[in-house]
Amino acid sequence: MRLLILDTNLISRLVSGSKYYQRLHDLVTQSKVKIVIHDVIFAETLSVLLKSKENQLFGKVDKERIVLDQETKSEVLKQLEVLTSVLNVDVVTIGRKEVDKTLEKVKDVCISAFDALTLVVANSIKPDLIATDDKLFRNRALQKGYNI
Amino acid sequence: MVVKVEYEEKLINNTLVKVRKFPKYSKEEAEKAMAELRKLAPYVEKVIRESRSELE
Repeated sequence: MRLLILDTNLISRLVSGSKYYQRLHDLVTQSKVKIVIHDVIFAETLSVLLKSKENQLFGKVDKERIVLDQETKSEVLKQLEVLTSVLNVDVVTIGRKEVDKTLEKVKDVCISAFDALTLVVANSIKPDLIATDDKLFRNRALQKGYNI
Repeated sequence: MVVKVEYEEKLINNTLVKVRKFPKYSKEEAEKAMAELRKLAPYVEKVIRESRSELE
């Protein structure tokens, strides 16, 4: 089984059943690929899904706040939790120690804190691959020897 | 929205990590969630596209 770390955009597409990620979905359900994310990415994925839900319901996004009611927010969170469980994604928790390491990664690779957390998790569990659609993150992480 | 989270320790690639613990969901719950999230797929693309264009 291959161990894969995904960034927010990719996990958001995977859980929402994007047709472009059908192959990855199949590999996951066949237990050929195991996905790991950290819980900050899980939270950011919820943010993407909530904004998408607003877009679906109202045809636009309020960039300043989430205007969905509590019931709808809870439903979207539950759907994300169910898909995370169904796809057997491991959501790794980040503690104080990992946050400190994140600061080092930001300084070393010159990336966002979210991407730095991905590298901190990668350092810990040594995945076969980190998958991202962010070219800047990809290029900088490649330069530092990560398998992207 | 209060989110109650439980954790468990798990061995991933010979490393002990703390991961979120999710309840076991029924097949019906899984199918319903999948169907609802699938409807969101085009909007997810739109949100990703818009957030990227804001950064550029």
